[in-house]
This record gives sequence, structure tokens and C-alpha cells, in this order.
Amino acid sequence: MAGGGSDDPSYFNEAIFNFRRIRLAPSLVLIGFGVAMYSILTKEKNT
Amino acid sequence: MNFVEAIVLGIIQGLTEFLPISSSGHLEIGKALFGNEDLGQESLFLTLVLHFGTALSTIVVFRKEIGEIIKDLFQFSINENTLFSFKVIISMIPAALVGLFLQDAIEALFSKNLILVGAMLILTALILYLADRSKKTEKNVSFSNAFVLGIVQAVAILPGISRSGSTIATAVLLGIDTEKAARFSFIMVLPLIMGSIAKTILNLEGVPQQTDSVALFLGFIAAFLSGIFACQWMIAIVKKSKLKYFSYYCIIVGSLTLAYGLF
Repeated sequence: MAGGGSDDPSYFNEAIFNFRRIRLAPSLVLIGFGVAMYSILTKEKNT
Repeated sequence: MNFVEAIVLGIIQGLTEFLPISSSGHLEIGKALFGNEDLGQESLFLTLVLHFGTALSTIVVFRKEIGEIIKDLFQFSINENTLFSFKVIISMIPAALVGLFLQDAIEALFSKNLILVGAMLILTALILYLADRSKKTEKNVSFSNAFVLGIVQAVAILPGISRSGSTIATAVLLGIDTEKAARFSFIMVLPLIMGSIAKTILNLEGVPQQTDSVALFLGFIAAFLSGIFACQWMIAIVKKSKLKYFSYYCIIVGSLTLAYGLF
């Protein structure tokens, strides 16, 4: 399920390369890392 | 599934839910080493019961705090505990959105990808080590801290990043008192676990026929008891700045996983 693939080699699931999987999800992960790092590095200003 | 399997799975769930070693990362490593395990309805039901066991152990460990929060909520006034509840709600937003709409897409990024899982384990090691070495301060969790911790919790869906480890370590790095950091991390996930259990129950088509209820019960008890032990142990580890030992473990497992994935 997580892989989105199929056990049948003759079947190709188009959803593997859709926008949600190859653009949106990785971008949000990177933004998440960025926000966490920025918050830690700028914490002195918040206190 | 026999009784021993159910008890072992319960203990693993109890320990990995609270200790900073990433249960999903270890699951991906296990899948790659021993072959992909089929996730049938029975396994899904077992996962649900085990998660309920660890949720219950969090409630037991923090019974006093949770009781006070609920009591204060019904006073319908702004006090420290109602503010704490609002912060928990804010922290839930990122993970709830990701869980509802993107979880499969994010998990797919890492499925059977040992290089990325290894890299994330090394990242977990790094953040645990930095948290241990950081200067301890007495700050409370602010609203902006709660949102950042919520984002970290959402990113921790990635296999290899420990949810408890990354949220507690980030909180400590943000200058929050270690005990408050651990308390917030464990309580913030409770509504999400309950929501996730409700979502799974709605998607289940009844209790699977072949389910052995005695084995399920034993697994539940094992997850509950090992969860109580691991939760209290983790609070002590964070307080005494012993996260570095888990950092060493994560860096060893992460490096081996990375090497296995590369060569």
C-alpha cells in the first residue's frame, strides 16, 4: 500500500508519479525541516 | 498469531512508542531484511489494539496532569491548563492534516528506501545528541513552540525519525524545560492516536473472523505494561540528559542501514 505499486508487473499505477507524491509531499517534508531548523536557530530572539 | 508473538509485538510497541529509536524506521529495516510482511485485516486490528494499550499507558503515567486539564476545561475560564489544551490543539494541526491527506504519499517516499531511512536515523541521532548537550533552561511551551513541535511531529511520520525523540529534543533545543518537554510530547500525541484509532475502526469491516481474542488481550496487556515502564524511563532519561546513549544507538543502526542500502 505504501509503495503504491502493484504485484502484477503488467499493471502500471499512474498515481505513483502524481503531483501529490512527487511534488507536494517531498516539498512539505523539506519545509517542515526548514521551519524546525529556523525556529531552533532563532530561539534566542523569541525569549 | 500465537500468544508469544502477540506478547513480543506488544512489548516492542510499548518500548518503541516512547523510547527515541523510531519504530517505523526499524519496521522498514525489518521488512527489507526479512521480506515484506502482508498487512491484512488481522494485523491492522492488532496494531490498533496495541496502540490503544500504549495510549492507555500514557494516560496512566500522566493521570494527575490529564485529570487537572479536564477539570480545568470544565471551569470555562482561561487558566494554565486550558492554555495547555489550546497548545495541544495547535500542535495537532500539522500531523492531523498530514495523517488525513498525505501519510501514504510521505511513507511512499521512504518505502523500501534504506538509504533515506538510514539518513533519517542519523538525523535523529544528531538531534538527540544536540539536545543532550544544549544548555538547560526553564521555559514553558509557548503557542509558537507548540506549532513548531506540531510540524516536527508531522515530519516524524518519516520512517527513521523518532516521534518522541524529535519532538522532545526540538523542545529542549527551543529552550523548554526537559520535564515539560517530555510531558508535552507525550500528551500532544494522545488525541492524534485516539483519532487514528477511530479512523481505523471506521475503515475496518468488523472484527476479523480469525482474530484470537486471548492473544489480542495478551498483546494489549504487554503493550500497556511495557508502555508504562518505557514512558517513565524516557522521562528519567530526558531529565538526566542521557539521550546521547540513544543517539549512539541510532547512529550505529543508521550507518549500518545506510551501508546496507548503498552496497
